[in-house]
Amino acid sequence: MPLKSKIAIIDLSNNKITIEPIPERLRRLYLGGRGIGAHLIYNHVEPGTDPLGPGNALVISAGFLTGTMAPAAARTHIGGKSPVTNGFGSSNMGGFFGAELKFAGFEHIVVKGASSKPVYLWIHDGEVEIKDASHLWGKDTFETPQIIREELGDEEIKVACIGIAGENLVKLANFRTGLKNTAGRTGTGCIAGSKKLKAIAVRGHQDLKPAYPKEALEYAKKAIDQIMSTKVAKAMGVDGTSYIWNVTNTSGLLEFYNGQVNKLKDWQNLTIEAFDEKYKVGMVGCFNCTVHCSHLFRIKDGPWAGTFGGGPEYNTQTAMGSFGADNWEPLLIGWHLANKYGIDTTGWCNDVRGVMELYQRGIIDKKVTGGLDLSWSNANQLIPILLELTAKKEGIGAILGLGSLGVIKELSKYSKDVEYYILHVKGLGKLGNVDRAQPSFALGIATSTRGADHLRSRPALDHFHLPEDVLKKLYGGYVSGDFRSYDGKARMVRWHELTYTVVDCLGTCKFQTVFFSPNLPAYKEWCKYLFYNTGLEFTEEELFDIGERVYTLERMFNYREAGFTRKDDRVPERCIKEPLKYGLPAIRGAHIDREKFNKMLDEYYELHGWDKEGLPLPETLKRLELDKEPSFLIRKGD
Amino acid sequence: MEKMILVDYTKCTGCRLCETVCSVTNAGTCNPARARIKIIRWEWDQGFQVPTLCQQCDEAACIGVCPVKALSRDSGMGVVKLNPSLCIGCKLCLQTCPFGAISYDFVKKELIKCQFCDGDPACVKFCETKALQFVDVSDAHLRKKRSLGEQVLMAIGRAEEAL
Amino acid sequence: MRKQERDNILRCLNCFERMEIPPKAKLFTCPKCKLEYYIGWRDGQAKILGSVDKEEV
Repeated sequence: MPLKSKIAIIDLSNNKITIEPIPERLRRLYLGGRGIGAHLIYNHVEPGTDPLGPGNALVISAGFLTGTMAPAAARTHIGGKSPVTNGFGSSNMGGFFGAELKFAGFEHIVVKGASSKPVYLWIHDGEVEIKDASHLWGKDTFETPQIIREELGDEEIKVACIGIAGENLVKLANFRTGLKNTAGRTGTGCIAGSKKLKAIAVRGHQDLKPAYPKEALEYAKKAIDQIMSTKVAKAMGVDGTSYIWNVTNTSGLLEFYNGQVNKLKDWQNLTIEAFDEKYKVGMVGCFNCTVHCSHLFRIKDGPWAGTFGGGPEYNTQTAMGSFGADNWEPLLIGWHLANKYGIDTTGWCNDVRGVMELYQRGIIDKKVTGGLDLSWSNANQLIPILLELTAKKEGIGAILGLGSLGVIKELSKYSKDVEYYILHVKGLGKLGNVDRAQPSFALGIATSTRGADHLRSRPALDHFHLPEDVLKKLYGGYVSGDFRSYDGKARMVRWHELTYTVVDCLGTCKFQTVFFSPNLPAYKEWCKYLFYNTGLEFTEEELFDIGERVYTLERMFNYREAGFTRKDDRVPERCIKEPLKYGLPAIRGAHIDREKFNKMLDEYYELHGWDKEGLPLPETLKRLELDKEPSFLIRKGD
Repeated sequence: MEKMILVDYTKCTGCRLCETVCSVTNAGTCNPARARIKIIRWEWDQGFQVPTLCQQCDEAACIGVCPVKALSRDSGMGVVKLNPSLCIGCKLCLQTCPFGAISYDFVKKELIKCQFCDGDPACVKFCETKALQFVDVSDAHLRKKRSLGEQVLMAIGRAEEAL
Repeated sequence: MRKQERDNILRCLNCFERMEIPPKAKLFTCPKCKLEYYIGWRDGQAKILGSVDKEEV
C-alpha cells in the first residue's frame, strides 16, 4: 500500500536511524516525491548552513506513485541545499532505484550530518543499515553497483552512487543509478560526498498493493493505449529524445560555441540514423515504461573500441555537441566518461563552453589552462582529458568543476567581462538550447527554482502552434499561439511549472504527460492513477494547488538560503544583447527584449500572488497554508 | 490446441511491466518479487535482457518429483497446473526445475508458477514490444521464420537501392 | 485496435503550415513559405532532417 511507505532519517554523525510514517495530512499538502521532499529539505536543512557541512541534508524521494501500476512510475527526486547555487538543490532520475526503494517500504530517505569514514546505506525490506564503504572509495559509478551486488549476494539489488567527482567534492558531481540514469543537476553528488556517503543500495520484497487492483490494471492499460497512440511516444521509442535534435538544429535553436552560433551546418553525421548504423545496440526502458526511450551503444573500433554505454539523450547530445563535433564519437565518449566519474554533463559543458570562449577571446591563456590549447577545434579531443582533470580537481579541472559562480569568481581577475561569457541563471548552467527566440522558454529558465533549467517549466507545447482556443481552455486565459510572442506566456509558464511539479510529486515520467503533447495524460488521468493505486481522492484543482504550494516553498527556501529575488530571475545578458545569427527566417535575429521580459515577469509574479520582488505575499502564504511553515521570509524593513 | 508464451528476447527492453502486471493479476498486489515471470538482465556490458518463464514442459521434472501429485499437466491449454490445496510446500519442485520456473510466494506461503492467467496472460497483454506472445504451439516457430523473412526482404531491398 | 496519430503530417518549422508528405519523399517544400526540407522516414513516420540552406553557417 503506497500509503504505508515510510520516511527514514539517517544521522551519519551519530549513526542514528529513525523511521517515521507519512501522515495523510502531509499527503494532502505535498502529495509525495518532490513535494514531500521539498518539505523535508526545508525543515531538515539547517538555515544558513554550509552546503558541504553536516547541517545540510540529502533527501532522496521516490514519487508517490513510483513502483505502482501507474504508467512509467519510475522517477526519484534527489535534493538538498545545492553547493552549486546555494539554493534549492533538485534533481530527478529514472531507472529502477525508486521502485525498488518503494518495494523496500520507503518513499523518502533523509541523510543528515556527516560520516567520518566512507559509508553506504543498505536498505532492505523495512530496515536501514550503515555499512563500511572504504573498499568502494575511488571506484567509478559502473564498478560500485557490481561490487555491492556481489558482496551482498543479490543481483537484483539496485544501487545509486557517486563517482570520484563526488568523493572529491567537485561541485558539479552527480548521483547516479544504472548505466546512465542520473540525478545530474545542482550538485547532489557533492552533497553526498561531503557526508562520505558513497552509495545507497536497496532491495525490496514488500507489497505495494493498489487500493483497487483490478481497476488499477484496467486503467493502466487504457492510459498506455492512449500514450502509445501518439506520434511522440512512437518516435521516442525508436530515436529516444534525440528525435528532437534535427528539428531544433534545422530551426536554428541549438547553441554552439557558447551561443555564438545557433546552427550546425554539417549535421548529416549527427542524425540518429547515423548513430544507429554505427553504434546502436538496442533500446531499454525504465520501470513500467512502454516507451523505452533509452539507447544502448557500443563503439566497435578506434581508440575507444569496446566502450559500452547508454545514450544519447537530447540534453547531453546538445551539451557534448556544443563544441561543434560533426560526428557521434566524441559525444558518446564525453557523456560516458561523465557518467563514469559522476559529473553533471549539462552544467559542466555549459561552463567549459564559457571557459573556451574566454580562451578564444584571449582573456585567459595557456598559463591558466595548464598548457592546454582550449581552441574550439581542439575541444572534442580534449573533453576526455578535461573530464578526468575535473573529477580529480587537477589543473584547469579544479576550476571547471566549480559551477558557474565558482568559475566566474576564479577567472574574474583576468577581466570583468568574464561574467558575460559564463552563461548561467542563479549559478546553474543551462541546456545547449536557444532561449533567445522563445520568451516562454526564457521566462522558464529565469524563474526556475533550481536555476537555469529547462525541465522545471519548459512549455514545449509553445512550439506546436496550437489553436488559441485550445490554449485558452488549457491555461484558463489568453495565451498567444506564436512562440515568438510575449502575450500570455507568463500564464503558460506558470501553468507548466506547477503541472511539472505535480508530475515530480507523482513520480511518473514527464515524457508520458502533457510535457510533449496535449493528447498525453494530465490532471484528469493523474486523479485516476492516484485513486486506483492509493485510494486517495484528489480533484484536479487540489493537485494544481499542491503544485503551487511545493513551488512556492522552493522559492521560500531559495530566499532563505541564497537571498534570491527578482534580480536573480533574469536570463544571461547574451540572450538580450546578441540576436541569433542563423536559422530559419522565423528564428534569425531573435533575442529577448528586456522591457517586454520585465513586463512578462511582472505578470508572472502577479499570477503567483507574489510581490514585485518575487516574494510570496502574506495572503498567498496563508492561502497555501505555508504561513504555518517555519518561515524565514524576512524582508528588509519588515 | 496447446499454447505457449513465445519469448523473443531481442525485443525485450527490460521494463519489467510484465512482472508488475503478473503480480497484480495473480497476487492482487504490485510486487515483482511475487511475479511468475522474471526478466534477467545483463546491464553493464551487454544490454541484454531475457524474460524467463515456466516452459510448461511436456515431461515436467516438477510433476515427476512432487510427492503429493499437486502438479499435473492440462493438455487442453498445454499448461502445468499447481493445486495449492494439495501442495505441502516441500519445495522439491522449486529445486528440481531446470529453469527456476517455480518460486515461493513468502506472503501467501505457497509455491507459485505461471499458469497462463487462465488463458489470457496479463504479461502478453501489456508487453508493448511483443517480446512475449501467446501463440499455438504448432505455429510458434512460424513467427520466427517470418521475422527471418522480413530481414531477408530488408537486406534485398537495401541491396536493390544500392544498385 | 489502437488508433494511431497520422505519420506523414508535419508542420513547417518556419511558418507552421501543415505539410502532408508523400510516402518515401526525400525532399519537401512548404506550400506556404516555400522553405525546402530534407525528409527522413523512421518506421513509417516522417521527420524533418534539415533544411536546404542557402545561408552560410
